[in-house]
Amino acid sequence: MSFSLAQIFTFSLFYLSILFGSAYATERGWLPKRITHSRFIRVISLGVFAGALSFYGTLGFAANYGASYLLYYFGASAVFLLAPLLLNPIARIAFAHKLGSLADVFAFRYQRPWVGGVVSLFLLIGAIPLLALQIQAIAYTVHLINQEISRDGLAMIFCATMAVFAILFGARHASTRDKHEGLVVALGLESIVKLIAFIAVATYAVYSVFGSVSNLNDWLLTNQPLQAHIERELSEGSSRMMLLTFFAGAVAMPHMFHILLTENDDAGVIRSARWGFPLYMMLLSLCVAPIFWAAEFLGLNSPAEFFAISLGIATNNEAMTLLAFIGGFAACSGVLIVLTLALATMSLNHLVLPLYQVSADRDFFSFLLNTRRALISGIILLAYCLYNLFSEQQNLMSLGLVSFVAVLQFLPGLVGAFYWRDANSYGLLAGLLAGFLFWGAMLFFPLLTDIVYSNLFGTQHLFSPDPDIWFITSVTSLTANTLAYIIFSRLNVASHAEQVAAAECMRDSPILPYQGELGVNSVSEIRYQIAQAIGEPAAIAQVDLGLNDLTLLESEQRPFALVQLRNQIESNLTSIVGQTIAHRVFARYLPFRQSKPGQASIESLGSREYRFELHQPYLTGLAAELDNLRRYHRQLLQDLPAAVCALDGGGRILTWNKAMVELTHIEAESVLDYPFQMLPSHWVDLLDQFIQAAEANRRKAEVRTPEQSLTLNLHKELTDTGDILIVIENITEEQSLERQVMHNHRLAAIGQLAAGVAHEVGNPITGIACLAQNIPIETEDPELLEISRQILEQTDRISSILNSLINFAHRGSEVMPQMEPVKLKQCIDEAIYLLSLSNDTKNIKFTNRVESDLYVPGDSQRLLQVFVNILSNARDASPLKSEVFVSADAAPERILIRVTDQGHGIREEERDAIFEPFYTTKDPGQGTGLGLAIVTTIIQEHQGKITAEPAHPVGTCVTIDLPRMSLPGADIPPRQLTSQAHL
Amino acid sequence: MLERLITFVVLGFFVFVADFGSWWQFGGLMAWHSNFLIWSMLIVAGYLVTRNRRGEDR
Repeated sequence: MSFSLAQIFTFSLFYLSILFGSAYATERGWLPKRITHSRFIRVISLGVFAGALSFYGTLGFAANYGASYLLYYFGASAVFLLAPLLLNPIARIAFAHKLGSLADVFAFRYQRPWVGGVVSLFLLIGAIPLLALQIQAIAYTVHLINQEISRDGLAMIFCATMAVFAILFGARHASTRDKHEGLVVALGLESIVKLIAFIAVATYAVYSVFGSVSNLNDWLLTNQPLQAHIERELSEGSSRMMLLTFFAGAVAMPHMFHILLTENDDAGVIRSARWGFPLYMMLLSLCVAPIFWAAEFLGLNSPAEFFAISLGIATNNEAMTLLAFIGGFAACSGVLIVLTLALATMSLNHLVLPLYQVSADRDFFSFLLNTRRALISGIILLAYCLYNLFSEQQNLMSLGLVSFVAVLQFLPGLVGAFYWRDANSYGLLAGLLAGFLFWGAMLFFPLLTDIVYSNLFGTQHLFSPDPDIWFITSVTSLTANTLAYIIFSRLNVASHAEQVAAAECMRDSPILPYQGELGVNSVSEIRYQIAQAIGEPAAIAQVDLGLNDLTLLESEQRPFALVQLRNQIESNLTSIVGQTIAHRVFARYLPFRQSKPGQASIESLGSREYRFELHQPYLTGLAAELDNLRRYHRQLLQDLPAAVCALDGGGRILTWNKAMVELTHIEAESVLDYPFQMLPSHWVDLLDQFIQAAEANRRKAEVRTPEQSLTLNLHKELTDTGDILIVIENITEEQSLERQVMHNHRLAAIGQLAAGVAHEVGNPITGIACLAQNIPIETEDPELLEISRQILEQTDRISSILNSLINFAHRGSEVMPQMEPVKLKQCIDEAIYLLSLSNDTKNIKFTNRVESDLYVPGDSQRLLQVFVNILSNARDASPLKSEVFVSADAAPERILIRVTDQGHGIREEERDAIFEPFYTTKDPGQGTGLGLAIVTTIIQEHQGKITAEPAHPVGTCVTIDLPRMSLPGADIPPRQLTSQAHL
Repeated sequence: MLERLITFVVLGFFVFVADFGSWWQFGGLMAWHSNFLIWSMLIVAGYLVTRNRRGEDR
């Protein structure tokens, strides 16, 4: 059975169109997001790990070493089963700092500019054989199904197609924070295709070749092919080392990192992958043995690695052959695409950018994209060249192990990064050099020179990385690596930056410690500094992105907010250019300056406490006790009844407790870290004057806020660290009470004075009145009689005023009135009657609508005085021929009496003042201002209240609230007018 | 507890990896799926651990 070239191209094109189509549809948003963004797709896309080695190589391994092929699948699965040990810490750091590759992780942890470059270079060298074997696997399978096709030509087309796909769907964005959803969906589809293909071939092997599972078991019992076919069993050490190698491969292979941590920012995916990825690998591994046994049963002569495809060919089953080909194609293309992308990104960030400075006037992002695309093409070309050198004479697993042993060299440095605080860059460099020296000398270069030699001279291959050589190389290189790592780390001291990074890597919370101060004071200064490194357009874009991420404003000036912005931009830039370059740019253009010892740090207390709160669940022992103590003191400060704020030497607000919030109505979050000058002007004036003043205390400072006027006592203390602690007491209420007491004292003094004056003036006035009364007896002169009348009139008036003064002065000192039922209607009628006796000419009509059965407890004479005063005021305020109404609303316990006139009304500011002594709205000489003051006193003595308010539409309504007295047998009759009087 | 069990079993597999291989190859070809049963149990344990922590994802 053979497929024509056209058929192979058609099938490949069909598969690739589905692959490209799914990626394109995802990018365009044509596929539902619940599918493209699902965790299932993200987890299954991790199946990219299972490349040619999984689909083909493990069959060859099973043929040679029996069940040891399981080590490949289980070793990779162990990374996820043991995720809390290594994968989760790596993911935590990678997510927190947007680290896009393993080189970024190493560069972050070991904090040397060359670390990323060294790691990238070694990874590039080590991973190229893995890329080459993918090309080899595709070329060989095509050769199997059509031996007339040129493998090299087909391999070249395959490489070109994969390069186009990688550039189109894997290098669309300069930043790794912009995910390539299309790529992930396409890889998920690839993983599904190869799993289905592998399961289909295995099922075909069991049910078509053997007929049934029982037949397979019978055959196994009689033939025991595994035993018979096994050339050598892997030693115990080899098995362990192989397990460790594939474990390291799954965690450190660039394509795994790329899919798991670069193209994914959901920690939940890692949790789901914990069981999802092992399940995927187990399903693949389950298929290997039946396919191998079926091939043995059929006695296939083809290389064992390609049994999956040979099975269909041998049984003339075109569909199965095609399915196996597509499955293998998917496996190889997936690794080729993602591994190339990951290596290109690493090479760009850690090998190209550190050596090539992009000029500021050049489009930075375009340069990055174009360079990455060029690197993708270059890496695939390099892999193709290596494939041409290797030819098909090397088996896939041997070549694969060359790459996996190379990646194994990163395991000591990776484990040390998260579990050894003293590990440093010197140890890492020494370890990697030692490990790769042994790897190169014992595995890679012998293989390479042998291939070159055999190709040049046409001789047989003398060197093959069989398990013995592989085992010795891996053990030797790993041992040398680990020893060098430990020894050189011990011999050298980690830098401060390394210690900080180590502390963060070993902690459970990705919060940075305090870093220091920035030398800039505004967002525009940050933008200017960054523009010097990456150009103005890129700097504008990155600063805007950072502001948006942190929801900060362009006008932001708070130092800690600027530090946060700086870190956010560095983190964002890390996702574009890698950790090394981003760190270098920011270390050069926006460096941190450490505070002097004892000096208040730039970080606000609130910000520090935020970090402490995040750490709180992880604190134990003494640290936990200290934190509890801190929280207790913090709570004390917050709950202090006095308002407290602390300012640093530059006037920045460090503390703003609850009482301060209540006093100022300004939330702490909106002022912390800001200069106090941004407060409302009345607070700025107060604080500024107080800070500038020499005195440590200021009493009764007045502040007029939009809501109220405040009286405050201020105290300040200059701390040893240069901060200013200000304590503010709000004494507004006390001040008001004090004023009231003083006012009362003043009134009492006036009253006593008035009583004395009245007494002293009263006697001569009485004498004058007597003399004036005698004048009509002495003369009949009309002129003198008129004078006498006027004198008597004026002395009456003086006497009336003096009586008022004496009454007012004596109020409160009198015996409490005798309480008896007072018939309200009758009392008011009497007051109206008394007013009608006066010679007022306004012709005012009084209408008493109070019901006749309403009683109040009180002194009838004093209540009569109340109503006379109120009604006379109403009369005075009323226009000619108007009406004054008196009504009452009775409740079971209280009675509200309303006296309403139709006068000019009352202004708001007069409503309380009219009840004050000596306050009058009448013209000079028309009133003493004592009438309503006396009324107020009497009403208060009767447990009542009096208020005045404007009446609608005109006039004033005076309301008297008095307690009601219920008499037995008194019913409440319907409301009726009971009396009227005209003045 | 389940977390420790997974760690214990995987590390145990690392230590006794050769014995597992022998068991599979020579101990009973009829029971060639024995290793997969243990593997399946680890996957189930991993799933249970994940399910218990699902709240962290929200």
